Amino acid sequence: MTPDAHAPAGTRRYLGIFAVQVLLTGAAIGIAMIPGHPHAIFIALIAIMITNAAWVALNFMHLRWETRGLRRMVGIPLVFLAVYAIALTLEAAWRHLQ
Amino acid sequence: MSTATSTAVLDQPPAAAWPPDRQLGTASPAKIAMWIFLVSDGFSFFALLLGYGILRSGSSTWRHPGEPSLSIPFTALLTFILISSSLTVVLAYDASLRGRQRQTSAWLAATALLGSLFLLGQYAEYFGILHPGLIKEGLVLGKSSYASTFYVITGFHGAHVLAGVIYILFVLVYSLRGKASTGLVEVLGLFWHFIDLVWLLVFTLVYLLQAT
Repeated sequence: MTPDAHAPAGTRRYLGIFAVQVLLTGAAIGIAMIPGHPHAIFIALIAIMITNAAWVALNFMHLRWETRGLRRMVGIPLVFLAVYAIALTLEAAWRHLQ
Repeated sequence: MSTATSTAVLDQPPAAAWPPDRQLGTASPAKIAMWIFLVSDGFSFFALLLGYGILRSGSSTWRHPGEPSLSIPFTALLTFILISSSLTVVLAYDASLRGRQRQTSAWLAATALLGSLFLLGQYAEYFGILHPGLIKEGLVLGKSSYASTFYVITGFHGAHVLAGVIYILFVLVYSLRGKASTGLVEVLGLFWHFIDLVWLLVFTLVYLLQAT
């Protein structure tokens, strides 16, 4: 890392990252438009959404090139979000079954 | 030391030389502060999206008769505009890293333009420009959970885009004066990419999942 902890430059690499993001977004739109089993579509869309968001955070926001400490500072709170989401989803599913 | 020199020193203290930290390396305080802000802002968006999910899963009729569905093709275009602006801001950072000040300014201006186009699109979606907007079509804030969650989530995101465009314009002025450091452009980029990242979640959960 340089003194300001900048990520390495590379116009071509950024264009490649952008192309992947466009592909992922296009795939999500395509999946939402085609008829299919709602649960399968739901799972596919959520998987693409998480992949796309992680792609942006790692590459465009340069988390890939950051120190382990900074990555932990950002990543650990996300674990709490996942715990909340799972707990509330399970609670909703439980209410549904009742 | 003369009086004039001591006054100058008091007015402008020398930049602190931050020693590399074991955990955070040489990341600048501004960058760490922006990350902390983004994590906390992420929690706000998460709360809104989770609330949306809970309301929607608990509702037997999500979209009531007379309420319009959300346009996927139009919003897909807005999504493309926003992810393109993510590319332009990272190219501004790239140019800044190479010391190309004019190119940095040009990419920053392109980002501000794309951000403004996104806001214009959101205005058209709500109020209508060439065709009636969602409000005229019957999607009114406060009338249903569907309408309220839609306007609160997309409106909160739109407010971030507006703040981001203003932020870009400030950095653009600095860049045109030749005063924008790479660190300044990088921190701006973090905020702008966060807006892009959150939109990917909003677009999937609010727009694409309603189509299923």
